[in-house]
Amino acid sequence: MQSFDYYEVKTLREAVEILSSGEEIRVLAGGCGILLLMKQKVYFPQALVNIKKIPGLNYIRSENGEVRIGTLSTLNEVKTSYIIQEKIPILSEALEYVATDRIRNMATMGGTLAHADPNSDVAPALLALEAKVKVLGRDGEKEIPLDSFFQNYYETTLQSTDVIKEIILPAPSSGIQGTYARFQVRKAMDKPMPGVAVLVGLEEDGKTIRLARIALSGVGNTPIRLKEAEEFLKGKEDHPEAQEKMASMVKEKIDPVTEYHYSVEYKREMAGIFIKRAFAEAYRRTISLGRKRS
Amino acid sequence: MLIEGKFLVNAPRQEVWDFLFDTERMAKCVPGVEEVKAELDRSYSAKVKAKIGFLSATFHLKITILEVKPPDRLLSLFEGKDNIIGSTLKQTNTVELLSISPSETEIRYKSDVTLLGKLGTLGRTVIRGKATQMMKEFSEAVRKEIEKVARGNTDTREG
Repeated sequence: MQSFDYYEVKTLREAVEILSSGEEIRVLAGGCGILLLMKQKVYFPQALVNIKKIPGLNYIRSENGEVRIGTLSTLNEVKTSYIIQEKIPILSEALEYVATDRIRNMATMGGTLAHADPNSDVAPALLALEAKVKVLGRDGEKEIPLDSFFQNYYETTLQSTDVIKEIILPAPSSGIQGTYARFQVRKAMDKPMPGVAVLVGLEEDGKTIRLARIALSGVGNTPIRLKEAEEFLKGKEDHPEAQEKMASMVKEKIDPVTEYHYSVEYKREMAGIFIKRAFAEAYRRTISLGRKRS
Repeated sequence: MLIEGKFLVNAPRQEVWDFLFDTERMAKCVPGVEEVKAELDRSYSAKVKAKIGFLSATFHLKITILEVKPPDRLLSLFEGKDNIIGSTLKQTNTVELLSISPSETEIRYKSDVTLLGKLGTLGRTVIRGKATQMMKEFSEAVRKEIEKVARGNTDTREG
């Protein structure tokens, strides 16, 4: 590994100052993405700023109808959190698929988002939940909706001097349930193709769709939310024709490329199939939740 | 890794063909190109920067024209290395021009890309996706550049 400068900081502000002092200075949190690239001699930073020892950035709080996750919370901490399992189980479900326990014990929520892997399991769930990313930069704090956060392969709207502070999730209102489903060729350690998150909320009649949120990963250069298909589902009931139309809208919207295991046509087809499966499961869970209540 | 596509340009075929050999204008259309120099014997040298997220590679390329059949078909070979990451690129390109009408030409391209070395760490999906994206950007830039000049020529003729 090529030599580089290493800083440990006590505050995020200090991290921003160091990041502003030169080119190719990167944040180190869990290290699961960046250290791998450095060890493989693909990336050579001038310096790393370790934020892992900053106190107070590892938390999961529920307040004012929102769940706030500190940037240094590890994936396993989020996955097993009582708050997440109770209020946002779809996130816990998606995290179950990420890598292994050893990696989930190291990787942080902030780092996972900043890494912007197009084949992320976490991103579709967070997109469907309408998450926002709170960032500290040279000009102070700002909140970025996740919808506009991912820009391209491993690229986000983050500036080189920005650090993620926390992830804000509006907890879905009662009566909304969802699911995360994915396909992969091998079971262990494979990336999703596709990864699909669906949330469904029903009207009081217990069958008409009041709200639908759909997000996908693994079928394009970034994880994406599919608002057209969501709008289409509003006011409809679960019906094979509606499912087919939703699936064809999704297949049309995505822009996959051919790769070793999958052709473009296969990817589109699988995206359609998994959207339908995830939707059916989310719809079933929402109905079942309604029944439990009444 | 095969990347292919086609796009329509509002210009006569001969104009499009001439454009392919206009080093300066052509270079402006290549995403990440930093310099291009015409060498002897139907070859060029170029420096092209490719960026994926915060990773970047700079390829020093030798471009050789292998076969020319004016104004229909051009076969070229790109070969080069990125010395920092340590990756080698070999790309064979076929460009075919099809006259759709006296003022419209379809450009068909087919590139067989072999990328060896550590950039492959990022995975085939990402590399192919990025390459496809760069080809789309290139196609769009070529279309705009050719049509800008073609429009200028028409204006001059009409004026």
